[in-house]
Amino acid sequence: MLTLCPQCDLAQELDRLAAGARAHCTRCGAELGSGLHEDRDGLYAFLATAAVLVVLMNAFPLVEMRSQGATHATTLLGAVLELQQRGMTALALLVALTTIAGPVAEIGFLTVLLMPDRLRLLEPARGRLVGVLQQVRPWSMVEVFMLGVLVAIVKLAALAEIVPGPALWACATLIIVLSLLKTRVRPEDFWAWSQGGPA
Amino acid sequence: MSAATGLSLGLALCARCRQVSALDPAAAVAADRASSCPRCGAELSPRKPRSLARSLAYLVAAIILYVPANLLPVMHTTTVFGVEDDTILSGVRVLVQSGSWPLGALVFFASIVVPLLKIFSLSALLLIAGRGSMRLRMQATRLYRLIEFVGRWSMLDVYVITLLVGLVQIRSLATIEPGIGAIAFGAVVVCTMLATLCFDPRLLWDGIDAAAAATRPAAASAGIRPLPHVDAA
Repeated sequence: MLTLCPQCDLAQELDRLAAGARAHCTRCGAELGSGLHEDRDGLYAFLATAAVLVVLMNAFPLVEMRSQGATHATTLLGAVLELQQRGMTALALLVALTTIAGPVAEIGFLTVLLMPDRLRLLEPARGRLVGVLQQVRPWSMVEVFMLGVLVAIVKLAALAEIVPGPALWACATLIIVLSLLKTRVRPEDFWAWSQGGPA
Repeated sequence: MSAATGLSLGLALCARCRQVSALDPAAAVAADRASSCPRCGAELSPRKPRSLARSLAYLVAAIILYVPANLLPVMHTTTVFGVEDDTILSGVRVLVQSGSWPLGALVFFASIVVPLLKIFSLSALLLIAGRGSMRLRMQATRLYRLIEFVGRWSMLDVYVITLLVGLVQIRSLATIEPGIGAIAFGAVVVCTMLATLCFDPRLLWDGIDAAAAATRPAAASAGIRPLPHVDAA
């Protein structure tokens, strides 16, 4: 099958790849394609886990601060709303989009796209959905957020006693699950799937 | 090595589903009528549309916003001892002075090095697109991959500020307000990310076939296609 390198446009012949195998461009080394992971049940398990973790990450406090008998905990949404109330609506939106809407959309779109073929719900919309998923992915930044929380904790440790909340553990686990999903599902693979075999 | 490219063969790769299809020459001439991928329906073009102009626009916006992002305070801390303003750089200094220099180095990298790296790299990429030796083009492509990969990490400070504002609201101890510099900083990150997303690395390689054909006449550019290297799972 003839393919073009997405990063240098070189025309190359590409055989069907074994599951999980990756092919790289002979000229610039960019990834040309990856072999389809056939294990869809495994993906459902990852998606279900990710969905639960996103809920936990948003429902529970991220960090709690204790000082002189006063305690103050904040959830992710709480911190975003605090920003918004202090006149930083644009910044609040940016944070909400990259840490709440981004992962939720990523998981949601993947779930819809991976629904069993026999449902045939979205054959016409599939192309658009994959396009949206590809555009959403760079803006889903849970791993950067996690590091931000850790930096904030260190900064505050001098000031008061800091207790990590359940949402922080959910966030750490979500990073792992999302990155596993990212390496296993390439949006461009969905056509190979819908054709039930070699593209 | 032969250097048949999509452009020289009149083919285009679908950005969405990686299907290769022939470009309709009529559609290419009439710029207002874009062809679409026969498999997934995405708009089909051999290069990202108006890549250089868009990328440059976002880059200029990022450079302008970079000034207030670093000069204006990103946080105001009110304690019983008074009010203190923090910029991006002073935030790093505080971290280093409070003894956690590894973390200070990390934040310095994410907030100072990465945005500058992105601004300088994108400028270089826009300048050398379509020019230079094979080696330069390869290095430029590597640079593009690097900024594509590390770009998101400069959001770090935005999240730190969000969390500090959300958490430090104890009147008797301290309160933290976000500063206007934080918006500018967030905008720099978004603009540089958009500039990177709009940039088409294939533009770096354009024209090399013409240069190669001039030095190595005929034959090589037709037909023969190298087999890509395949990693095992």
